[in-house]
Amino acid sequence: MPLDEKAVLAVVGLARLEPPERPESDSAAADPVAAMVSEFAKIVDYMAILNEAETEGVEPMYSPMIEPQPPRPDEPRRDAGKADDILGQAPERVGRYFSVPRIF
Amino acid sequence: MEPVIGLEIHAQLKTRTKLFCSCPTEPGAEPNTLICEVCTGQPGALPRMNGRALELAAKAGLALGCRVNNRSLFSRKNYFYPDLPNGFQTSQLDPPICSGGGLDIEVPGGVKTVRLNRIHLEDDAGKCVHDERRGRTLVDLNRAGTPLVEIVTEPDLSSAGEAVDFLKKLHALLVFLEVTEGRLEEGEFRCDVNVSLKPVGARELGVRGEIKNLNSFRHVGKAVEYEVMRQTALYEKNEPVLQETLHFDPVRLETRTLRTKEEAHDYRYFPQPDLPPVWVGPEIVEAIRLTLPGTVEETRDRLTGLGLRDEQAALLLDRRGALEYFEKTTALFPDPGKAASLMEEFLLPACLKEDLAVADSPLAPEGLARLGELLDKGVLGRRAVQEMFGELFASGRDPEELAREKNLLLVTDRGALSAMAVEVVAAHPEEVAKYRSGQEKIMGFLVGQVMRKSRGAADPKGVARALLEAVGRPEEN
Repeated sequence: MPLDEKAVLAVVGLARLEPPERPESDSAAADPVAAMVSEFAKIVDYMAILNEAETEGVEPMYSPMIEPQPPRPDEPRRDAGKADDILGQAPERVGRYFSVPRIF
Repeated sequence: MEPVIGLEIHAQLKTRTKLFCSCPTEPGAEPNTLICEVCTGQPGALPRMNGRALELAAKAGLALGCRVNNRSLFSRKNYFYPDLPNGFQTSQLDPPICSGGGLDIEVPGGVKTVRLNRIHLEDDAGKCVHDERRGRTLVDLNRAGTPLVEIVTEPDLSSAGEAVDFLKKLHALLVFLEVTEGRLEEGEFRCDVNVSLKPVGARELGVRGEIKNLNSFRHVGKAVEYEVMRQTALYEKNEPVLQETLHFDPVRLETRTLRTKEEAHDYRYFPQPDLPPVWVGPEIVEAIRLTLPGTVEETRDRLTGLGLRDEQAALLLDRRGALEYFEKTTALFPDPGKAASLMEEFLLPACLKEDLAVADSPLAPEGLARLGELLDKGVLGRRAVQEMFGELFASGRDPEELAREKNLLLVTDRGALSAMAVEVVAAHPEEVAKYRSGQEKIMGFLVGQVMRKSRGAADPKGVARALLEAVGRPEEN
């Protein structure tokens, strides 16, 4: 994937991050977006070095945990105090609901 | 052009706890009471997989002829939404717990196999409620983390009718296996439908519309019909069909754009590093296979082998709890045909009318068995049952007691019947003479007279016998 400004800004958007503010076009200040794109490119290129390793027939490592985890028994546990505690962290509530800006 | 349809079904698994934490999965609880740090995505909380969910997914796969993959992985499906506390859904991209498989449906001219692509495990999101008055969205995370299986078909379906038939059959199977409760109105069985058109005989598929989140069989049928019509109209006008995600309006029975391809999510799938590979050993797969209660077809054959009609077998299989009720009844009243008839004619309609699950019937299998015995012995007539069943069902009382109270028990006592028969014979000498001279049909009249005398409470078979005796006796009077 070509790592141009368009691609980088798309990824920034997907991650719900704000891109850095660009300076006025007549300003002499460096363009932080261009700097970000060049940094991203360097990081991705560095990762590409790993592709040089010979991995034919080697199973990818998906997780630091290699051993299967014993499954959890299907036994319910309620903790009203914990539920209230979590709800209590909410910046805004309506009754027992978390309240967030309206979704269209 | 012909329609090409594929389905993605989400069924909520019948477990007691969520997929990755021990919070209970109960419907109807107060908002945000069935939550913990794992299912609300608190920093540092780690998931632990529910063993029962894995078993149920494997069980569904085995029943559908899938290959259960000994090793499968969980992946993160990343997107932002208020009901998704982690910012990703934990799903299975590759490999899923089950691959392949299929389910046959009846089509004109025979049977069609609808192939499955996969079955995988994933967790459900919470629920958003829109508060119009305050202009806010309210979030309840009780449902967040609930285990689901996603069942994906190949695009093998060719019509709205086939899609609905397939769904009904899949639903019945999963409910029968107790993989899901499958209550559509609770959202426990939902479906996304992919519809496209292609020229008849062509190999390449057309551009598809994806209709999301249907939870009624009727809506699925209507949605497919509308979408086929909409796409056909576009083709006829030589306009392109856009690949988009659609919402079905259940009031206007139309599909509407939800998202176009440009606005589509980029889920950036990657393996969930917090969960190790899922391992289901071959011996566990075999153990689960042994718990399969026989396929629906095998059970249907067993029932018809017992003497049930096809419709009765289908009824017992389709209504949740009906088969169990039937087995309990026949354990006490070993006449499967008659037990099935009582359920078909009386019990199941009563449950439907009172909107009760069969398991919640106030009339227990013991009561229905007793009713069967009374009918069998001739102590109760069919008409009497019709008269008293409503009250019997509602009260759950002993049928014999209730019948006696209502004076519906038939007189079977031979002495009593004999006495009445003799009286009638004495009262109708002309008719008796006609009978003796060979007019056998006159017996009907005499039987009617005894029935009148007993005000309908005489057992017709006993009456006939008593009259034959009374008439057959040489004239002694």
